[in-house]
Amino acid sequence: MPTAIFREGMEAMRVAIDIGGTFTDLVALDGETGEVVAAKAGTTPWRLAEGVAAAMDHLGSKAVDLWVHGSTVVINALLQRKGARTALITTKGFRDVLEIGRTQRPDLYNLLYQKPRPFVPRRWRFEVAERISAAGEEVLPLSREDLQAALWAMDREGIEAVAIAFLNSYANPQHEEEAAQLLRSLAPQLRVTLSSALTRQWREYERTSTAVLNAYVQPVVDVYLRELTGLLDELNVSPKRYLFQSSAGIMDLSEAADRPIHLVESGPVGGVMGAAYLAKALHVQQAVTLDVGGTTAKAALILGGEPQWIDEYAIEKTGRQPGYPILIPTVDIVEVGAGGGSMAYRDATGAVRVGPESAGADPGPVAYGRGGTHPTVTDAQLYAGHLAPGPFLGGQLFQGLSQVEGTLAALGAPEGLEAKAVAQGIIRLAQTHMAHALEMVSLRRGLDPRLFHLMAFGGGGGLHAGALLKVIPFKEALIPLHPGVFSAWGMLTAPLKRTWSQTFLQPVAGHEGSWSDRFRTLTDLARSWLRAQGFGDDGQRVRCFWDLRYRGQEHTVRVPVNLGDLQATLTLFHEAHRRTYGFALDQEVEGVHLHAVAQADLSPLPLTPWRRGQARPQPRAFREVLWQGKEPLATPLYWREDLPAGWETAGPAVIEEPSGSTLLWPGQKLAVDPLGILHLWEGR
Amino acid sequence: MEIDPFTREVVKAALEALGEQMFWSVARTSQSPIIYEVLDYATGLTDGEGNLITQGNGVTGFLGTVASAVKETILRYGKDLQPGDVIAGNDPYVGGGTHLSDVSLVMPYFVGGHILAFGAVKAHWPEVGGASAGSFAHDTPDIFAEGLQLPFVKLVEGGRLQEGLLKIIATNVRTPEATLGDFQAQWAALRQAGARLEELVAQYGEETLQAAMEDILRRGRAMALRALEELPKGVFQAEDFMDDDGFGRDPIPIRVRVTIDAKRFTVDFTGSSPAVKSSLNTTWAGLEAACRTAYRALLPPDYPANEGIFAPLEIICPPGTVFTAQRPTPVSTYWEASDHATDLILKALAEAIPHRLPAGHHLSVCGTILAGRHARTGEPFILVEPQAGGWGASRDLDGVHALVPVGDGDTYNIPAEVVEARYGLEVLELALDLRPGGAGRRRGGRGIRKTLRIPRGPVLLTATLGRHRIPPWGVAGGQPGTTNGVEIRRRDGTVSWKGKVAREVLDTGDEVTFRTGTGGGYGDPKAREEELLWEDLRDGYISVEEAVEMYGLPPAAVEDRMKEWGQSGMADRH
Repeated sequence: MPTAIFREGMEAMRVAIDIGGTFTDLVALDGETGEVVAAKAGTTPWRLAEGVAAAMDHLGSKAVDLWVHGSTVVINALLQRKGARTALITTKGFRDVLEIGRTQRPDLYNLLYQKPRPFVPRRWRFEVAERISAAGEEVLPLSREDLQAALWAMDREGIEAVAIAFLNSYANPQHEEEAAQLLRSLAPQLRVTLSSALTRQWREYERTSTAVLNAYVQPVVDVYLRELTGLLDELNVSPKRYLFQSSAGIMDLSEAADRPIHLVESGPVGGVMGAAYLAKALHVQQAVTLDVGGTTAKAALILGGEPQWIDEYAIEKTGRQPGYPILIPTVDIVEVGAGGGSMAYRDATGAVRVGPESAGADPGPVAYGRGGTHPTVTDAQLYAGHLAPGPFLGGQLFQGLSQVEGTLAALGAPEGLEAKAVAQGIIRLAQTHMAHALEMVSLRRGLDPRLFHLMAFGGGGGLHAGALLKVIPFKEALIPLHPGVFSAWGMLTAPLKRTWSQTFLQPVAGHEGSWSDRFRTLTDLARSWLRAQGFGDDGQRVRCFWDLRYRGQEHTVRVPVNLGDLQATLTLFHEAHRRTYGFALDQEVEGVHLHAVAQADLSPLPLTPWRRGQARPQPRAFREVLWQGKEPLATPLYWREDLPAGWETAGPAVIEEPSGSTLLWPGQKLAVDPLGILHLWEGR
Repeated sequence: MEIDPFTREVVKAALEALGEQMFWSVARTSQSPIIYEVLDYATGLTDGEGNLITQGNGVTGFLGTVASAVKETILRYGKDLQPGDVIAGNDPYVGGGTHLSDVSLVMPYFVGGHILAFGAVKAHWPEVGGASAGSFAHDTPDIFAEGLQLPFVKLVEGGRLQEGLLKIIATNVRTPEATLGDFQAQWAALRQAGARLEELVAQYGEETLQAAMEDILRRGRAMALRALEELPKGVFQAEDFMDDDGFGRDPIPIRVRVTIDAKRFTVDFTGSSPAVKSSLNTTWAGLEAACRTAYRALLPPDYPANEGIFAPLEIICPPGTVFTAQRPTPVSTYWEASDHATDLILKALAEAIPHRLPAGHHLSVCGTILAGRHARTGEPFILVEPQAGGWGASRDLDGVHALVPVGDGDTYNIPAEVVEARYGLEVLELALDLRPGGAGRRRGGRGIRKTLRIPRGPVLLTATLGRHRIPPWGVAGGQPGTTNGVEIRRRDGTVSWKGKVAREVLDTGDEVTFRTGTGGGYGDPKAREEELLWEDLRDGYISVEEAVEMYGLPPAAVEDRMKEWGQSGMADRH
């Protein structure tokens, strides 16, 4: 059993608030008692701060020492197209780049395919004469006349925010900075975003898109942050107030106002952050996370106690739509359409499918009796006894299983399968999709799952973890406390973080000095930022990464950089290429992007020992549960609250708690660790 | 063996995941833009007899050709295959071959001494030698000038690389490192898929796997007839012209007669021109893929794409036409003919199936090749790129601007910043091309104009832009779109405008603009809603002249509005 860090004697509350589609979750850690308080309030989409205020009401009068917030304000403004009147200023000859995009038709055989519509209409896209070369040299100075003309037009049109995206600004941002300075001095009320301030990576369409989306949400976020600040001042919340970023780090409110696009993906990332934090505390180096919600399951990889990240993300991206790219660091999450609400049906060929369509909250599962006609994964689990009708259904009225049985039998009719077999089949298919997501982040990257822990959370994590252990041989599965609000908990554990990315194309060999200099420039930026945030400069808090490839390739493999030994870094690259793609080449290696990541823990989140439970916990009841085979087994039901640290049992068993249940399959073992975390493994 | 529907789906999902993995692995490790950006390749898994189980496509044009390569392998080698073999073929006249650049690699997967399945990758190699850098140009006299021919040979035998063959390839191509690097990437993807298949056999048993594969094929076939129920019945005809024979002579007539009844979907190209002397011809495999693409586009998008659904498709075309070239007729720019074949079928049916088909689009892949030395580093480069263009309007929607043509798919353009850094050229503009055209109640989408300046000559330009003379067609009273072409502006001020260019020398300071067409319009332009026209005008998608002359807006009103909107940035140059 792993050991954990215990720290007690904290003074005040730490609070995390995570806004979701339906609920605004609050998780608070009481520094005095070590107790974790979880509360929920309804999300108020028309004015998110109201829901936040309602959630904060649950805290009572305790002083709040640290306040972390994951908000949907940015993604909502984008998805609902409720951002500012936004303009774009480009290099002369390039105002249509935003509309031309990358010209692909991912929906190959749909000849009426429609491209994503640009966030800035053509009439608000302005061109100015200027030119910087790919090498970063000035070719043509910035035309102040053109800029002035654009400003007049923007003024006439009532533009609130503007993005500046010049060609090759990744190599030299000087013209973007000059233009911004001029605009700010002439029109102080205008919000100005520079593409080069968000990323120094090449590819003009993606960088322009990033800047446009940032500008588009900025005025909305300004209003939101003002509301929050007012609320927090009123509640006497300490000035340590932070927002949670897509990169699984936090940033303060003034940075959020400048770079709001970093807030775009918060909820699912919170859970991965929490899992990474727990993994570190448990000395688990490598883990795969699984977050099962109502409509999807999400998998992510944790290596060396850190979530993995990508530097390009897209909103509204599907298999048939490219969406809108955003070049910001985002935790690498693979999502599949398999959750509790996923519906089972027959497709046009008569094959059985589960998901990605979800019954959602309305009509919801057949068992809600609100008009659902396709059995969902939840229905199958209810019928199989994996779930008990009760508080799990979010307070929904439970209408009995006869209707569920009818829809299950109907689905199995073509092969004459009975309802039980259909229920088992639906659960299995949903789990196949989840296993696919887990494999995508582990096996398919050349990683051996036997060396990995599976960390499962979300409302449905515990329901599927045990079954997935039978499909993919992870070491064990861990179910943390409060799995239903784990995302909010995870936000409490997040460090302050900022990433600097830069494109620079050059072979590695023969240019070692130049590379070292470039990394040093980036780390200097990172260190001075850390100092400005009040952290010492011991160098431990800055890590560098390098995206490398064989010359001629387009895609890169990212490796951590040892600045003292670039040769060792190259070796890591060859190994990683071989592991991922099955081969390495004896060819020249080229560097493409450099990254420096600065991160600093505010103060470690204490993990308190699990003191609940009874010395000899007894099952609260027995339930008929359908495992493998045709007949159900009478299975003991335990309440998680009853289980003490150190307790072990063998399957079959069901562990229930208010926000979910955990299934222990026949032949599997379970133990409660000193922190109250459930460990599941295959009995051998 | 009967297996329950859930196990079947579990195994099918695993096979699909295997196919997906093989597909992306190739893109992520390739060294040529034509693969990692254009995705001009396909990967597939077939059963032991060469029936397609799953195929990953980056572009439309490879539908079915992967399985043909496997069948050709079986035909040639039969029992002479052993574990670890990889067979390479690019013969355009057999085995699903298209042009020499598209090389198929086929690998048998053995279980217990017999072949359970085949993996195949068909990919556009960056270079296979021949008269032109990049291995395609319209003016090659015959197949022998088009590059190295690989007649389904064992490049790997029992896991052992045939070094001699590899040396021959390396010696015959201009980019040996990239070509062999890509081969390594594709071979590795095939091995990985094989290893995954072994895992699946261990997990589910061979019988279950076999049963799942049979089920996929059976269900596909059952879908075929249902697909036809959706389509209008009758005889539909279209004719069109390809620009010329490649050497500037008269347009080349092509025609199709489509007959749809309850059981068959027949396309008959009889009456189309004989093969031409240039490489604009396609062989049967390119024609078949073209017809499959059109047929597939008529069906609901969520239909599966395995072989079964193509069963009702019957193709008729006598040998020796521009669509059915015979050895040794040159075919290196075969997509010009094959895309025209797709377009003909779409043209015949566009008015009858308005909820799936738009008016004509720029159609040509507009493949452009620039070869020279990097202005800064002096390194040799070959920049191969397709150019996006305008799509046709449909009954309900305006055409889409700047999109790759029907022959391409999930194909990316190459960013200007990448062109500048990696290839050392200067990109002066990347904009929508606003020449008047494509007017209609729904208007055609605009093509692009991309201008490059040559900072250091000489740079050789080879480009094949079809639809240079005959613009995309309109539907139901919609106007035709505009044509594709290459504009070359020399330093001395001379300007040329051409559809096809082969190895033209560009010097320092010369500029070249690739301009692609606007798609065809749909319906009478005079019927376009006035509020839409004001928006178009304001955004500069149509010019003042078009608004007045084609769409009938009153000139005085237009003038007033233009004044109201002011000058700067609102109006556009045309």
